Amino acid sequence: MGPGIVAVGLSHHSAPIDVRERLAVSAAGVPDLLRDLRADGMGTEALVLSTCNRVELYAVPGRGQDGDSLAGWLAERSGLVPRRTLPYLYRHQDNAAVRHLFRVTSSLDSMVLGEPQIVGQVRAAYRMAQEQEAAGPVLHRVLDRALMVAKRVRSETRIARETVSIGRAGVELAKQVLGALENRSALLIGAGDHGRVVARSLIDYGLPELIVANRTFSRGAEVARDFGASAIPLDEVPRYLERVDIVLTSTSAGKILLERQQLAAVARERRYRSLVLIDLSVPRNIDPGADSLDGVFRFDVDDLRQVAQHGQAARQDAAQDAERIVEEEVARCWAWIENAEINAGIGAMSRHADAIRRAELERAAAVLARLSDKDRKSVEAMTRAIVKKILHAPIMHSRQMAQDGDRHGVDVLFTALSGTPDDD
Amino acid sequence: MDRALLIVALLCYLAPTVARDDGRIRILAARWWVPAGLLLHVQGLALALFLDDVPLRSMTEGLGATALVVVLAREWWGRRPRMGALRRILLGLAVLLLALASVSPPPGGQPMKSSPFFLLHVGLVLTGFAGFALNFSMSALYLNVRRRLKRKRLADIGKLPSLDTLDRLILRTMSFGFVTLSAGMVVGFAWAFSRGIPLKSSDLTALLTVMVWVWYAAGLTARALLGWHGRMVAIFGVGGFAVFLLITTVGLLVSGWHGVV
Repeated sequence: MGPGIVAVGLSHHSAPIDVRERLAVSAAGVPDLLRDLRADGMGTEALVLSTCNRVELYAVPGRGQDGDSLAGWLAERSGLVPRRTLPYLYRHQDNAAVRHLFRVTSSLDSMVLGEPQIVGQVRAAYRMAQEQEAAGPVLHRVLDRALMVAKRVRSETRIARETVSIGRAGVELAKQVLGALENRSALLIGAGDHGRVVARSLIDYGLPELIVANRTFSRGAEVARDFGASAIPLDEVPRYLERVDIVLTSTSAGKILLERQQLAAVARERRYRSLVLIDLSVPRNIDPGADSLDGVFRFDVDDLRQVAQHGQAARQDAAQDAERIVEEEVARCWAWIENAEINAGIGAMSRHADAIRRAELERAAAVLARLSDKDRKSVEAMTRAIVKKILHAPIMHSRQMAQDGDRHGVDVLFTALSGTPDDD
Repeated sequence: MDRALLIVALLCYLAPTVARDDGRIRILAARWWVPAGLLLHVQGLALALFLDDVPLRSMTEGLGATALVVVLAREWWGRRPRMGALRRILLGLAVLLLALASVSPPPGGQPMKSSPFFLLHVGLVLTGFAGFALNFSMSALYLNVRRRLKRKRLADIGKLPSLDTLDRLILRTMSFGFVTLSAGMVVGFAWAFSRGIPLKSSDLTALLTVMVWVWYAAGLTARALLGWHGRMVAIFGVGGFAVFLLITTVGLLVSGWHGVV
């Protein structure tokens, strides 16, 4: 009985980006890698997961192969010097490999805890393995469970519900004041990076209308085009302040653009209908004195960061619950894999014994031919019963050894009683 | 017996109100004590209504019934996302109302005959007050969320409802309370008129009810005509109900329903 499953790879935890990019496998290169791996006898089933943060190979190793040999093979195939690359490569075997895959898929190993992209990336890698016929019963089982575990983690813990990005923090604060963003509108003043990130998040979360105002109108129009928004000249901003629900400022003006006095007049005009001001500029563009105005809610970069940091801490807490789910599922999945391997070994052993039984009956065919049909059937039944009784003890013994974790003993037993490797 | 049941219900509601946030008592309370309290509350109230010749005539029954509406509203709204804080406020309010119900004096004055109109009148007025109690809770939560946003206490802010949601709920509960109170007052006046009962200016209950009606009518008018939003309406809701509760408590505990001062 060989090792069930092996995971070999590197990630942002183990290797710097220059090593990661040299080992990275493009989507077009994955089929070749899967084919070479099987052709070289390194594995019978395989899956490659290559993202910007990790390159990993999951395989059911070929005879005599293990994590070390797979790591060496992967480094050599990538044209890297194994001596220099191997220290960055981690190897996980059997239930540790299953645990690693479950953690990766549940985004517990991600750079941003709880990020949703990894599930799609694992799903794409699995699809590729299926298309290349590189996924067999073990990988089918493990990948199906991994995707299910990720779903459980997302639905049963708060890991994906907490805000961790500046963009999402802006959305959360706007929603905290305004509720749903449908039927709301926003004005983006300036074209700074943070402003565009928050504007993009607002649109992703259902904001239907965005207006962009920039000192250079053509630049504003360009940004507006990217968002499918409309652009206005900067001097028209006061008119729009009375109309929109959210104002984002992200400029390099280096001074206050919206004074308290001006905003007080706007608030009165709006009859104190809520106005969310998100100031993403440093130095700030919105007078902090606006905080005292009724109906006006001003937030700056520090406020957004506060929300994002709190979300990160909350995700850390949720990760503990997620780890418990992963452990529970690893035990379940590994028990299935072990049983499947034991069952395959027992099957091979039974087939071998039956082949011997049939061969002996064949040799005695001349003698058996003299018997009546009824007697011949009795003899055949008797041989089957003898084989069954002989195999009963080794089968029970192999199950016991597997339960005790004696993998070598199981291997020896199956090899001896299945006729392998000589029969191969 | 009915009063004892209400007191035990009050204690059941009190447990999660005073328990620590991360305490086991709160978890247990949320699961078992509040439903148990609700059961006892309903039983106590049913017993009081059954034993009394004229149901809802006593302060205990009236405030007990109002508290019941508040607890049921808690179960209804509190199960929605981000409404955990509202659950706590409503439970606290129910505890306060039940405490008042438990210490209120027995009904005094002339013996009365039960009438469906009387029941309708009291039922509608109490439902209106329950609406204002809910309005008070929403308003208090609105002011709390607003204060946190203004003071930049943003950690955990996502667990609270949005100001927009609360503003809409404030309007709904205020409108609901106002409409049912108005209907209850109309039925009461009609019933009194049909029996030839004169309206006295010294009838504290009638006086207070009219004052409450005027207060909330003013709030709704300000909202409709002056476009009052958010904070002003919330202050109106909190202030109105707090003053009402104070005057009602002092006045009615002394004089009982429709007592004369």
